[in-house]
Amino acid sequence: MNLERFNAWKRLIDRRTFVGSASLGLGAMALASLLQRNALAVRVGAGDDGIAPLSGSRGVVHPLHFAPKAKRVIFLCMAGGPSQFETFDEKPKLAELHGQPMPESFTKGQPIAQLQGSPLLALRPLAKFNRHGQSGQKISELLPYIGKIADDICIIRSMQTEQINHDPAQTFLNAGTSVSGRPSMGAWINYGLGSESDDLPGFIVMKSISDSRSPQPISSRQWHSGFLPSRFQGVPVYSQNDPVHFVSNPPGVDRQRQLDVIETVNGLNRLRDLDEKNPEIAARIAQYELAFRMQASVPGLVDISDEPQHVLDMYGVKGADGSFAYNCLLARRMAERGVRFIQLYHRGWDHHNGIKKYTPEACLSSDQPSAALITDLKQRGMLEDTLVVWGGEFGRTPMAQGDVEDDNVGRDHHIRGFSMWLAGGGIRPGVTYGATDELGYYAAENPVHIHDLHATMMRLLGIDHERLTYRYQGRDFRLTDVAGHVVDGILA
Amino acid sequence: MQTGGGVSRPYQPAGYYSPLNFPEREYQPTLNREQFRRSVYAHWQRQFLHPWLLAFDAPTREECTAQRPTSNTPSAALVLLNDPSFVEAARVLAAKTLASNDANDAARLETTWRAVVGRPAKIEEIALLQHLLEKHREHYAAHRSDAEALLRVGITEAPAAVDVAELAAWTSVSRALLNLNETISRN
Repeated sequence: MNLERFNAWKRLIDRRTFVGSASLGLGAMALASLLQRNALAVRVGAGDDGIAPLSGSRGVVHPLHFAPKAKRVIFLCMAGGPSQFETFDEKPKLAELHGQPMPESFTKGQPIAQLQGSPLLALRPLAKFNRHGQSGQKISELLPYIGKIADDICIIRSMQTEQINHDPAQTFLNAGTSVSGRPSMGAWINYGLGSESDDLPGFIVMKSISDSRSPQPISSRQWHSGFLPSRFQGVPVYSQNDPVHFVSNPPGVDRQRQLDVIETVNGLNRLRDLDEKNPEIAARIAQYELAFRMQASVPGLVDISDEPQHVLDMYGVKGADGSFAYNCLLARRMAERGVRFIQLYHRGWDHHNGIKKYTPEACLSSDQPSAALITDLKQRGMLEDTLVVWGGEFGRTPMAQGDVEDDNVGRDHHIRGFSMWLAGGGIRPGVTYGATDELGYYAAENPVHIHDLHATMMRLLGIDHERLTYRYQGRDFRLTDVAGHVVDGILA
Repeated sequence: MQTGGGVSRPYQPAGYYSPLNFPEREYQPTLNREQFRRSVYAHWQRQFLHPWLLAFDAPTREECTAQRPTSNTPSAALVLLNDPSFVEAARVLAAKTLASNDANDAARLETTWRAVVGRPAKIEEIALLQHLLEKHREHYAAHRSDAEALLRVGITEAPAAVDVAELAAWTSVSRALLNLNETISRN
């Protein structure tokens, strides 16, 4: 038995001593766990990564590579690909070219999604832009609430990605590659930093739908842990029925009866462990304790009856209705409870047609809640250590899809230049970073690749993206693979 | 046990497929005995695995998987504790126990333990289960509507001749047994 294993074994014995000495016996176990964080944070070995899997545990990056500016991330994923031309990237020159062919110097040899074989005609911006705040950032009239937080956000107009269809582009946005089976950023960050919450998962995902144009599907691959231990995978939280799958007791089983069953399970597992000394059993006992605590903490998380009316009004929340507004409010509640990575998918930005109708609708559903989240975090002093990101897997073409004069015109997928914004957690507020060319085709100035976004997010969390690696199939992997640069220009 | 045949659709949380599209789909579980087929016959949605497949590290079958990870998560605990498939299985196991000819609680616990765990039980192990059984026998005798609610989980009819409180108490015992590390893992 090597020293590491001996120590793990010894800690288990200490743990049993603790259990045995609790004068109330097994019945006190759940309460004792809640009070004695150390009793839970015992390193019980387990995974091939050799780190503790439990709540309240620290991650593999210890100590952190940099002084962290952010402790957690809220990623507002506008799934489908919002049009930058109607949101954050004003292009007057595109209006001048309206209805005419895009110059071939822009489009020749470039990847095209659905416009293959179609004439590539410029489509004018369909929204007016206004200056906002002291910073004077230019934001579309379709996002008046985000306009009001202009001084808090950093707009990046020079985003780039590599995949032109939804599912691979989402995979790229989450995992830094279009190859499935790799960990998502939420899993990487929890692997690196560990959990801050004793009774909730470190990576939570919620979904909402914005409008009537058929939304793109979202695969559960997007929050998968890939080759990382699967305890780092995202846990979906739902606004209807059980907020987490099977978090409610079976009918006819109250909390005490459930505790009785779990204590019997854990008691029998402990007896077995006396013979086996198997760290997996100790881990299983701890996971049943966590599951039991989640059965109480998850309903508390989603019960918004303690929120004052003015907060509900600020977000535009009308109840637990699965709206983006409700999810944004829950994101703040998760952040308060120590959830490390919170990802909200807001589906319905894929406006190949009907952009005049659907983009305003999608903006309307996203604008107020997104801005309210920033304001709310700021008022609670949490924005300074919470990094918020707003954006989609790609942007949309300066070219029209469909007849440019038709009311049903739209825009196709576009990957060479699009917009996102970030706020809080060490981000320079009130600035616009990067620029596309005069027609909004390429990120011409200070391009920011998805790898760069990942590298920057990790930097703000205190992680050097080149040093958080995991060996798999014979080589070291990282979220940014062999690319990625920290974007110093957007750091505060 | 039937070999071959059609697909089985296990119970699944309502609305679970709502993030899917092209087409949107409404999931209908199998509501006859086919419900209980082995999981090799279960409906498999690659983009969206059933929560219990996901919780137990089933590959999505989107690409080749040479070796599965084996996790140990609260999600897996919640599936085994609360997924109606497992609650129903526990209740049916309890009904089988009560249908046996064993003379007393201890003999019944021993028989069920052997059926689930595959080795003789120790005295301390029987004692823990006996303690649970007695507590829940008393509770469900005083809360018969709770017992009835628990026994209604799933599509299998509960045996009419058995007292509901007794069956519910034994269902608790079965739930404990089906959640043991030793039951669900090979080593």
